[in-house]
Amino acid sequence: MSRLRYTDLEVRHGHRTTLSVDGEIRSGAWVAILGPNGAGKSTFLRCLAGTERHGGVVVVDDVRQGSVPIAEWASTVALVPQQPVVPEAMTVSEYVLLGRTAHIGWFRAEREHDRRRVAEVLDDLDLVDFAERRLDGLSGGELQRVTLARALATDARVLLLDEPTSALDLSHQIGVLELIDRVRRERGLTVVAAMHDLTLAGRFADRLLVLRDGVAAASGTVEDVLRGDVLSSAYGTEVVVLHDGALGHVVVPGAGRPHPSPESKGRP
Amino acid sequence: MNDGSVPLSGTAIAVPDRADPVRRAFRVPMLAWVTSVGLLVIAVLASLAVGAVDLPLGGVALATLDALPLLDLDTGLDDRQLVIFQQWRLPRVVLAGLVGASLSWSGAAYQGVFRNPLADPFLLGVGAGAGLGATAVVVFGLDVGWGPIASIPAGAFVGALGAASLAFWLGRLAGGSSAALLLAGVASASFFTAVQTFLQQRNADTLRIVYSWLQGSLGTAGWSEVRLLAPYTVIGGALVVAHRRHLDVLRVGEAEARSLGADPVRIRVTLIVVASLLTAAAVSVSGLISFVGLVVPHAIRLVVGSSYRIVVPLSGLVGAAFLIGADVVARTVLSPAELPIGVVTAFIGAPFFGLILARSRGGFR
Repeated sequence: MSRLRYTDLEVRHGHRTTLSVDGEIRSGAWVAILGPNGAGKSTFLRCLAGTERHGGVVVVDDVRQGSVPIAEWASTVALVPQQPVVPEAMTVSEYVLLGRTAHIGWFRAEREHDRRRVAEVLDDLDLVDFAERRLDGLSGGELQRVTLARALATDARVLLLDEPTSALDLSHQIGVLELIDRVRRERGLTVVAAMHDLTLAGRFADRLLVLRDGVAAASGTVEDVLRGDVLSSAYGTEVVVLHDGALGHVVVPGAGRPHPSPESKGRP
Repeated sequence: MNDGSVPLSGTAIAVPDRADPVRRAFRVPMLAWVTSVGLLVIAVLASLAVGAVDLPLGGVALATLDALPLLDLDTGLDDRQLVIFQQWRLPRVVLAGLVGASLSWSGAAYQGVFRNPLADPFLLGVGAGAGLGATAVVVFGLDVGWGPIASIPAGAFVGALGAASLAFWLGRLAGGSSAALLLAGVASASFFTAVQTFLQQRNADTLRIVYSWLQGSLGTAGWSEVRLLAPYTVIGGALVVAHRRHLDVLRVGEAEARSLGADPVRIRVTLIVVASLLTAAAVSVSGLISFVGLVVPHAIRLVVGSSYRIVVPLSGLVGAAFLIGADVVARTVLSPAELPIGVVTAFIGAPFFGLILARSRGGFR
């Protein structure tokens, strides 16, 4: 099974250390990376993906980043970026086929097997009807599913997601997270996701890691981390956690003061 | 999965095969391939038959097959016609095809690597460098020929590589990003053009020779030029075609390309070097032929879609056909005089491209 270990993981910009973490993620887990803006969530994911220069060691099972070819790492760990580059005239099928890059030899063309994997992933995510559509005609929610499809087409065991719901409205947020949870369980994937919404993180993840200024401010189970005192100190603002039978932990920022945002939590 | 579902009841609603749209999305555009090959065949035959002395089309077709190895046919051409065919027409057609394919492949590669639709084969100052090299040879009467290679092509080739190397070196110093390389190319091209213009001004007596070379011409085409260019076109073209999938990967940017398992730096360096060599070799025998490398890949993109998996292979075929066709026009319009082929490519190419562009209705991005 795919155990992910990161040891002495460190990113420096000049004299400033922007990330310094150590840890291990067990196979099949869903770990949510939390923390305020600029805490290093995206940097952490990029380090795991191998697209950010860093010190330290990242290992999945016995595959060590940097000592295997780029293609082998890419077929072990897949990243869904927060704002993927969208080549406008590209079709959905061509885009998802990019996920097969690591499996196709340097001078080779894609084979029937690669096209079949694309078809399977599109079918799995209910995107078959989009196969010939151009990316620039898709909505935010559709595009999110398409980038997820590209990541799944890599057949990687570890799926990294950078704020997978940031561009989506409330109903699509739940839809995408449920979809990720389903493929995680069906394929035994390990999911590491930077998340903004603490309530949703508590609902879907089984372990949480809170970063602040590039170091772990808190980590553990949902019960350990989703607590008013822990979150208040990590985010540097007052946070209240309510408990709801159906929703689990409901995290309310800035409680005590009137909250101007009209968004309602849940329907009657 | 071809188990077409048969409607059981009277309702004739066909259940669509779930895999169908995906299969359709990946189908080979046979029509585009057949059209491209057809255009090439027509251009080749027209170019072989038409000229100061018209040759019979049937005889030309047979003679073309006869020129292939292992085939021995009675062509029906008389000795004089055979000489024209073998010594003049055939090398010229082959050379035009090689130049057109080289420039188109080079343009497609640059457009992909720089993610810039305006990229063309002269991007890194290759054209300006070739111009300076050729001008220096003419003005100073240099004898830099080597073996069967004449002095002007040799000078142009050296100049082209010099300018591209300068741009590449400057761009790497500036961090090696696409923008840095583009700007370095502009600087390199301006400098080489300035020196070339200076030399030309100081030596007005050779203006005509330099000018006619700059406009592009296949008038001196012979088998020695073909032998010079062919290895570059074949090897360089094969390398660009081999990277067609990687050009698609680069479209999502370098960071994502890396996370997908491609090495963007290696792809970029390889393709820039290959495309520059392709262009340098082509312009050294043909002069500066504009428009082919910019427009041929775009025209294909607008018709068959934007994936380099299809655009790159077709670019070679269509580029060859386009330049061979343009050469026919260049030879016949003012016969027996010849138009510079660069004038023809722009004169036919620009309106044709404008037509495709206008019909694309926003398909162009």
